[in-house]
Amino acid sequence: MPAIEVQGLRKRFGRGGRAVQALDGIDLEVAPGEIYGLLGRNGAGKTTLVKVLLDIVRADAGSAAILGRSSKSARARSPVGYLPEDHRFPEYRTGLGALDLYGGLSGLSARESRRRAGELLEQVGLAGAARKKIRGYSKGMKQRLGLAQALVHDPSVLFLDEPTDGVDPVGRAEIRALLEDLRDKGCTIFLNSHLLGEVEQICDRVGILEAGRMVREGGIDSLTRADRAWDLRTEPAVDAALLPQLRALVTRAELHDQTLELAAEDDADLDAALDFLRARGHRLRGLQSRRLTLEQVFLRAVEEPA
Amino acid sequence: MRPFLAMLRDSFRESIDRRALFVLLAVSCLATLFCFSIAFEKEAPELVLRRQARRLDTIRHGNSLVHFDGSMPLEFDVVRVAPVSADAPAPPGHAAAELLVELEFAHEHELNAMVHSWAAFLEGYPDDLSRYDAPVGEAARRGYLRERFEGFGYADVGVVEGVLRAKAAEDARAYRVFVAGAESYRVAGAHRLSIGFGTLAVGLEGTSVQEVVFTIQKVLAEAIAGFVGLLIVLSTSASFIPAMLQKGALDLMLARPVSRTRLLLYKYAGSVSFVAVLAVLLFSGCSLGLAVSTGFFNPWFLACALTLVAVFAILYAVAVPLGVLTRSGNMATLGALGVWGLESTVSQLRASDDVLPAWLRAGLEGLHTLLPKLSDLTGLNERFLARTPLADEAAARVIAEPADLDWLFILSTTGAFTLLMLGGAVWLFRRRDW
Repeated sequence: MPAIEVQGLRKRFGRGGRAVQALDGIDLEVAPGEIYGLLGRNGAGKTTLVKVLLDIVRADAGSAAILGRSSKSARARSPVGYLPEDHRFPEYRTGLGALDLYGGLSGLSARESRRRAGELLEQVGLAGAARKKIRGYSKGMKQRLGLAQALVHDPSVLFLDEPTDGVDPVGRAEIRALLEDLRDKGCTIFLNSHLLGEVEQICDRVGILEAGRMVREGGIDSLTRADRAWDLRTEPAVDAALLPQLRALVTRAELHDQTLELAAEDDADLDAALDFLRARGHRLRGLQSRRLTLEQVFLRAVEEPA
Repeated sequence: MRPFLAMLRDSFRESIDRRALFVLLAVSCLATLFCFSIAFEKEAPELVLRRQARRLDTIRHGNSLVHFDGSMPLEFDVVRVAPVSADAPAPPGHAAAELLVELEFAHEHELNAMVHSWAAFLEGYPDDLSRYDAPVGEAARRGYLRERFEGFGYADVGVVEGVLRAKAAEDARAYRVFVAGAESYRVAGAHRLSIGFGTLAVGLEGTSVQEVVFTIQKVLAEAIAGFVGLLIVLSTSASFIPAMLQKGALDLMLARPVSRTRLLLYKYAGSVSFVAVLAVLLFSGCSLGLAVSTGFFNPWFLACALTLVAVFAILYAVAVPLGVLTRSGNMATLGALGVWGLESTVSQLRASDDVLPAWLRAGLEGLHTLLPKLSDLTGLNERFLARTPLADEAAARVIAEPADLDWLFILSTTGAFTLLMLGGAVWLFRRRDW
């Protein structure tokens, strides 16, 4: 059973000419224990998708389920933790008090809430400010507290919207480590983030939303792998004079310094090019699939939607 | 239950964070302190009795004493006030008598005028003027005197007629009245009232300790708690729901495994519970203060807390849908205060004797049916407090005759209004995207 399952989800805000199609037939599955990153431009529908999953926003069509339960049921949210992007805590409460409130709303007893609150505030580095009113917290402290409230009832599915927003680099590294630790414990994490590097570092799979549609989806490895392109190093290095003959065998052959970039439509063409080079005395010293950065993948996806 | 308790704790925290709460607590503490600071100092019984006897030709009108005929004092003397003695023994059957007052009326008609006016006062001053000229028998005169002295708070009143002076006019009448046996707090004017732990002392005129306590309780229930307190608590708490619905704050709540209906109703119940705690604090503190300082305890005073909480719950139910609709604390507050003011105006206009156009009266009746019956509910305070054992005469003066109300209509329409408001709020809250 998938941890998160979305089918044909549609949501339109407003009416008439000013209507915005926030979600336009989204299908999505996230396996238990997976860290799934959702990327997209501002207004692409990322937050709307999460809000529909949490029943904060009601979909016009389609279905969404968490651990097999329809997201329209309040019980579906029992195993769910959520850190919204622009969250606002009750400023009259202390960090400890806020966790007590959210723990209670999640069904924890006052004693359990306090115990978990103490542990989590320690974990997110807020133990020293536990009894301080939230109105005195910095943005980074509120973000850490946000993460703690999402975890207070030990959820098995976690939705995080920009979890490292406003957090310093050291804090970001700590949060990343925390998320990886949660994944190791079997927690499913659904991450909305603009920080592509961060997503690339911790996500198992990524979806890219553009204008309410899922334009790319897959594992980081498969998304960043360039379209059948390789970097080849040989000894001696390939001479530029051989490039016209190589181009007759593969779709692309370019020389970058000492490295030869080859692109081939199938493995047989690549093998033919390698045989050609071996026949001319070049020994193979390295062959690596050429990769794109996630940023490149993202930019290509939003500029040329599938 | 756990989510409800969490919301309840949060409502308390939210209330504590507002400065208005400290104003409310200060009001409660001041009111309680005021009640503790009251003291009644007994006056000499002879002095009290003389003062009371001199007021036989007056009736309390509002807060002042007026003469029976509207202008001139009647002609009578208080000849002597003294303990019962051998030369003036108590009449048979009045062995407990302690004091005797001797009264002399210069003319019979003076006493008759008193008897008529007293009857007219008790009957609400009927327009039939001819009755004032009706002859008065001796039994009626004696009955009048007995009734007046009983009204002053004496439990055992005996009246003996007798000519006290030799050279009196032919139609003069003289009486000896023996009084005794009342609990001291029921004797009107038998005390001096001191406030602020003796800072200010006031001589009581024509009023008993119990009446003073009744008045203080009424002011506390209707003016301090029922108006000032309600105004502050409503202005403060009306913004609680809009605050919960602020962008970023609500997401944190809605992501929990609690339905929207329960979330909203828990928040509502949390605020009402908080007001209930404040009300219990105020009324029990004042009740204790009055009990300690006056020795008088009316358990029905505590029931006024229920009225306060009920009125708040109804008005807060108006603030909830407005808060959900506009997310504005100011709009929610204004809406609740608006309904309060409108109902009060409608209620007063309906009760007035002014001749109103038919269309206006029909409109008022329509509004009265739709609106919650806050004035009628507040009127319950007087009914609760009226259960105090006041002397009949004092009760006639200070307790308004309860109106004959259709409580089934009042409770059903008020309940329907409240449910409609809350139901509307829940409906809005459930159907909106947040």
